[in-house]
Amino acid sequence: MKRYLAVFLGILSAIGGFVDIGDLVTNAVVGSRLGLSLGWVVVVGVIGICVFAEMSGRVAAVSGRPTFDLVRERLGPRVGLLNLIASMGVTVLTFVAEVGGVALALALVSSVHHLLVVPFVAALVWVILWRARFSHMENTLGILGLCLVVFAVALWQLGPDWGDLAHQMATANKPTQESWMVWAFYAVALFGAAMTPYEVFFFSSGGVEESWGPKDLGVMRANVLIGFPLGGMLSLAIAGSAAVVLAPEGISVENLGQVGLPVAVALGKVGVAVAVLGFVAAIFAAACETGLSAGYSIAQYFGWQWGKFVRPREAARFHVVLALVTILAIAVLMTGVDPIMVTEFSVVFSAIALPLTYFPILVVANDPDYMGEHVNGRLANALGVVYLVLVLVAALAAIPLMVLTEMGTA
Amino acid sequence: MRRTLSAVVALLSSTALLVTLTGCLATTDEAAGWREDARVAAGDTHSQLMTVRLVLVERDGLLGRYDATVVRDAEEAVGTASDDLAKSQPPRALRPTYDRLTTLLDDAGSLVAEARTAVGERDTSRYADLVRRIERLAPRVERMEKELRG
Repeated sequence: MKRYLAVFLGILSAIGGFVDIGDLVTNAVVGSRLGLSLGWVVVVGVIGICVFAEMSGRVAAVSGRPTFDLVRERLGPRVGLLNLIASMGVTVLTFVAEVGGVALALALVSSVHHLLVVPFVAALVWVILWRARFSHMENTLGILGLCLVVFAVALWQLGPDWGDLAHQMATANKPTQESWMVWAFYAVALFGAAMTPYEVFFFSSGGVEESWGPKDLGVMRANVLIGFPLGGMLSLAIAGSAAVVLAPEGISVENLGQVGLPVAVALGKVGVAVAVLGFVAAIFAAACETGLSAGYSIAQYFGWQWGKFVRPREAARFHVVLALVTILAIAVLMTGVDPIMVTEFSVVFSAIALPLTYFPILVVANDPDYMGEHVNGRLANALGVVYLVLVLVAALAAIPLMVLTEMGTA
Repeated sequence: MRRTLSAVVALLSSTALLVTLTGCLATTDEAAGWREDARVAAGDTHSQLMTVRLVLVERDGLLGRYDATVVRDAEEAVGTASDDLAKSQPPRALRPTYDRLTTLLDDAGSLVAEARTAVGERDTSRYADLVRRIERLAPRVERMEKELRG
């Protein structure tokens, strides 16, 4: 019974924890401008994150060691450093976006300017990273993040033409006023948002934090293969509700407040209250995950003691990194930079960093010395290679598309 | 001598032609660039006007200060669009378009500021009138965006 509860809890956390500020904003922007014509990218991205999260989770469960640790050992310090720089850059950028996102979500209901909230949010994130137990943090915030299911309820309540939405998704039928270049830019951004590198590092390090072993592979797979796709459904619901309510009005999403408007139309005040709770919880959870991922990456690369399964005193350097990253986030946000703009950059740069993140995982998961009988099978390798090609294409296209479309505005 | 003169004339003609063509291209680029900036400003403003309209229409569906925050953000965005456009120099030929657009953006800015005041003061009696005025202005901004799109 306890085991089933653990599986259930893990799945709920995975659903609630799947959506972060990047998914929220990018899906709403895409829904409002391009309808569901890029819904298939979410599906492709979710399958991709499932493939690599399962691989890195399996590596952690079988070897008892997290991804970065093995990447450095297996591919050498130079490739490890390249991997570290690419993923750290994106993770820190995402962390800044998440902290700013929580502040924006709180500002929605308090009317206090988000800059006044930023230091408090960052301090709270740091306190949780320092003091809270890993499982409490993950489960509580992940389950509260489930409040975002309100977007699916809202979409249902709005009573859209489901056939039309399915047609837009199946035929990639974009509105005529938007160019194919902009469409391609958002395809890359959505792909980057769905396959954010930190999710894999957090997942595998979390496995070590929770002492996964080979017997936990089933639970891990259930979390990934049920939780992540259901989380992806939330992303589609956010895009769908924006497509149904905002697109016909000519509203193009530029801030977090606009993301919640379809819920207000469909479900009124109660719906908005639940949506805002979902925003705060999901983004806060992602802030904790990205903050921890930054600490995990550096500590694992340099071979320091890391994690929340040991006392802070025993992993002092790991906790110093967490504190420094938090201070950096406050410093960046206090310059007045728009957190939504940081989010848009973070999802595009995620796409750029993807090959450097996922290639080493594929290599390690194929090494029988580490994996023994749990080494990648044919299906995992075939999917891994297909996705490596996809992430390479996305990475190469990201910067030219970003420049040519002026971040999707042109 | 005659051959030298012909060469000089040919060189000068080519240079003049090149300069003219480059000038034309530059002017065309400048005009296209300005039109694109103007289109983005008009599109952003239309989007924000419609956002404010939705907030006013759905006044019973928004809790706490959510509506005030969304309208305040809309006001900031309209101001940014207007400021960005003001910084760019329109080509002479597009001056009338510039004047029409800046007038529209100014009107939008004033209307959204009025909406922000009404929402901030919870003066719902003004909402219907504001919605009507937005519904009159927004299509004009949208038409301008389409015109700039060409």
